[in-house]
Amino acid sequence: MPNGSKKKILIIEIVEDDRSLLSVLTERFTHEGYNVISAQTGDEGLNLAIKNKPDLILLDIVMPKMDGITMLKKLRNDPWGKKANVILLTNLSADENITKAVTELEPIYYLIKTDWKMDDIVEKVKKSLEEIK
Amino acid sequence: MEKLDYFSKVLGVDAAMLEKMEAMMIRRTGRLGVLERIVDENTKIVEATLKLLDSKDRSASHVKSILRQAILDHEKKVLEVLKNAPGKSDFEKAAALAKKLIKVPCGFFLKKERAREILEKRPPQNLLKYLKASNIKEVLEKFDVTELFATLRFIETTEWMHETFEVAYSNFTSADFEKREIEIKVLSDVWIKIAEKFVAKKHHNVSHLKEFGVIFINPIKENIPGKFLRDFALLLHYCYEIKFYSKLFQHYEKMPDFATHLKALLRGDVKEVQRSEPGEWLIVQRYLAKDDPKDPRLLLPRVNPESLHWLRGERDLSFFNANEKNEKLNLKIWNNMDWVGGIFSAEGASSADRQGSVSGGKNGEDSVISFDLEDNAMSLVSFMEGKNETFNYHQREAMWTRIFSGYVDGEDEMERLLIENFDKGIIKF
Repeated sequence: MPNGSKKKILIIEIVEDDRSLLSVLTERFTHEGYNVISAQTGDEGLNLAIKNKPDLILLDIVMPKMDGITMLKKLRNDPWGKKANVILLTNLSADENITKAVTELEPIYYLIKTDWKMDDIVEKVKKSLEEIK
Repeated sequence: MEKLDYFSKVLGVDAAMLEKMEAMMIRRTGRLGVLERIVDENTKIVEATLKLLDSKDRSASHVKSILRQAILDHEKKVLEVLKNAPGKSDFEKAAALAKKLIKVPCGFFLKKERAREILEKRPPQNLLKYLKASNIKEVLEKFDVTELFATLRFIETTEWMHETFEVAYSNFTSADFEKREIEIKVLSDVWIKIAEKFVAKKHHNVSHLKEFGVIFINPIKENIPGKFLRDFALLLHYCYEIKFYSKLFQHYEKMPDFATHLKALLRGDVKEVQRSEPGEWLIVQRYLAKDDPKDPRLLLPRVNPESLHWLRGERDLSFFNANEKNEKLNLKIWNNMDWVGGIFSAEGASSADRQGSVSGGKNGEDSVISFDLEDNAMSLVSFMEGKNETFNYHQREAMWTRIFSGYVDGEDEMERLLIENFDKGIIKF
């Protein structure tokens, strides 16, 4: 259980199969005492983010309806969302456009899923939450 | 922010030590207002840079982000020009571009015949095996001798390297040296298999042989954004490091124990002085914080030859597209920025009431952000690799070196003092 008040995490990722990152991370963080909210499209994620103001957002770049980069650009236009803590996840290695967007949008981390193990991602989320006031 | 508080924060040292250092340096050199001038210049450069990069937001995370973006944009500019540079591969093109940019054509280097003799007297067995060659003569006919020398470190044992070094280098005199141009070479594809291990260990694809005045590029492509500019700047840095060493060889030229000095220089033996009094400056050739952030020498005034090489290499790089009209895409912003650092808060406090400007760490703490090209290129690479580390160790050493140069007559005099006192490990005023 994390110290202090229960921290909120919003996970926005498309569910591709039973063992999607979304379900595994939701399970892990709920078990560790975090308040986990989840969304499966960029639209839904954006609305939930602004409404719930989570301490951290885990956002997949590849998403239906509204992709993660577009969602993050919209979030950064919101007074609260401007400084929201976001970790970007992707299956893609960065092309020029993604790289440019990613450096501009100031996520805490940009993680290519294939380069990281589940435990590493969990560790980065926990470390980031510890550093957030 | 008071000047001593500013330096104390940026350099991570006690303000009282700085005060004593300043008082003694004024007494010994008669130069007043050195620290004030540096803080003032730092503030102006930070402000001008942030204005140019359109940063109204002064939070630490945003400032880090716009500096990373600048690296990304500038890397793209260099890569665009590289497409039309002469050369068969991107590596050859990079070598040609570096050669065009650097302003250090000649140095004092070991004659290549000596390298040939060393290999003939002590044929490197692993190298012969790797090339499936029966004797060294056959190999020397096919390959450039310095290229062979460069690959020894990848393939021969440490014992062989040490023994050969001791035997071969102990009798050299200055007559074995000659004035020659610095060379930048791309290793041939033959070595890729072994060079990959070296690149994986060193995390970059550039290496050099100081005594021969040669820099090598391992032809192993690394596609992470920021890596090209980071390593290209390193290549230019090496040109100046090699030139500096060539000056050291010349400094010891007429001394009877030339070979002893030569070996010490090549081994990287610098007298590691651990203490100093006010008015004394350690010569530290390493980035101490990388090895041990608690090294006590990090709390003492010091001058680092590495910073001088970076200053010069980054300056040459900054003139890469001097005629570029779009100021944001002009690399000249990195000129004279190696030592510049700002203190920024997480919330983005105005820099107006903070000398040197600053704003942003986690949990409301101020954090020091480096405006040095190499630090920022490394930070971009780390970010794109999912680690998001921020580097400022180049900037911190450069800041000390900048302060030192304020007490002497500029860059050339600083270099003279470094060369003259190199074996002592300390400069006393």
